[in-house]
Amino acid sequence: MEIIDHFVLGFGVALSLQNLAYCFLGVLLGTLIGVLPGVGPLVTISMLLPITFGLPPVSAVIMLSGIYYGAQYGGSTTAILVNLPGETSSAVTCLDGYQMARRGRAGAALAIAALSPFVAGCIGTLLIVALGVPLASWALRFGAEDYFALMVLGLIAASVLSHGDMVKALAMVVVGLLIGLVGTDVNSGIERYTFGLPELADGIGFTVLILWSIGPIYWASPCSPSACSRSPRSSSTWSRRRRAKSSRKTSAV
Amino acid sequence: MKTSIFKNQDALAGLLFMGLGALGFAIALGYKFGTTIDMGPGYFPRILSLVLIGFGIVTFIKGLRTCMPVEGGWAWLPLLLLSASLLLFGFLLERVGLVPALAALFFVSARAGHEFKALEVLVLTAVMAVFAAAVFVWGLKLPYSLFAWNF
Repeated sequence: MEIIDHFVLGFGVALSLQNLAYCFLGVLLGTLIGVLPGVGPLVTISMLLPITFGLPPVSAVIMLSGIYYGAQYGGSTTAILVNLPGETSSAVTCLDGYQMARRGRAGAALAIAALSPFVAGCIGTLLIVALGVPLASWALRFGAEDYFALMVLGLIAASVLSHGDMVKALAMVVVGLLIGLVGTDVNSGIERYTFGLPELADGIGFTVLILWSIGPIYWASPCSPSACSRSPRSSSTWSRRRRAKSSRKTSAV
Repeated sequence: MKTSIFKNQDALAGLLFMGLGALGFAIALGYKFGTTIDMGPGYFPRILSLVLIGFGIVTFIKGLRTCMPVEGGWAWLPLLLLSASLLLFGFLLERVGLVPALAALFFVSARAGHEFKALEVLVLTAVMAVFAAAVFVWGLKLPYSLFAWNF
């Protein structure tokens, strides 16, 4: 019954009016800033960190987690409305969220994007509380092989899930991996594909890649204005971004 | 049905992949290859480039067999304008400040659209300039000046 005691203690702290207010403020700010494309939870937290300096530690942590969840949700807003993922994790939201928005169900899509993480977050928190200790010891055994397997799974899934030609999708995975190689090699410290430019030493950022791929959306702009040409093209750029991003992680291995 | 290679969708894609792969391989030749046990910085890029070339060849052959023609023309002007507008923004941001750089970005990239409405773009520019200034400069205190003259 120890766990129940801990829950009661935790809720007693979290549910005070002051902490709830900080939580609300954090979510509000986090969502506002997280909406901006390319500004993910990490960036938002690091930008808003100074605000929490003056607070008592518990309130600060509560506000920061509010910012985190807000920013996470904010990223899905642009994904649904304009098919631009706010950060990597909401790239998947583009798939069906944007399609719903195109059919005039943007409100429903936004509501789902807000409610599903709430449910999942509650379940996840409960699981962490229950399984935290055994999971921690298991996670420590999660080694390089496991990360490798996970990444291969992600890359294969990216090409299988994207509709159209499998070979081309796999080839685009490889192109994304190559883009991810740009920058300093973590193992040897040698700069690869940087053409001697110091700006490229840190690799090519996700946002940069998004902005760059807006151009190609217009490449084939054939038929009549806007609508018809956009949808299939943008889905292909989506996969490109997504893969390039996943490849950035792979290149760190 | 016979389509020329330069109108053949998959053949063009295959050529693109092969070209990228060859380029990647050529550059990676400058990095130490190492061995499989002790991979050098050139190991992964070279293998990847070879795989890409392989995919390119498969796509190319498939293109020769299916002969799917490319639909629509190349929209060179929008492509050029959109890329140019981003470059222009980066170039102007530090030299004349955020607001003029934004205006340039909007006007150049709006020219790439199917229709150009000056008033619409003007309103959009004004609203977005205020928004950007409020969020990035005042809110997040990013070190950009609104107006500047540094040449």
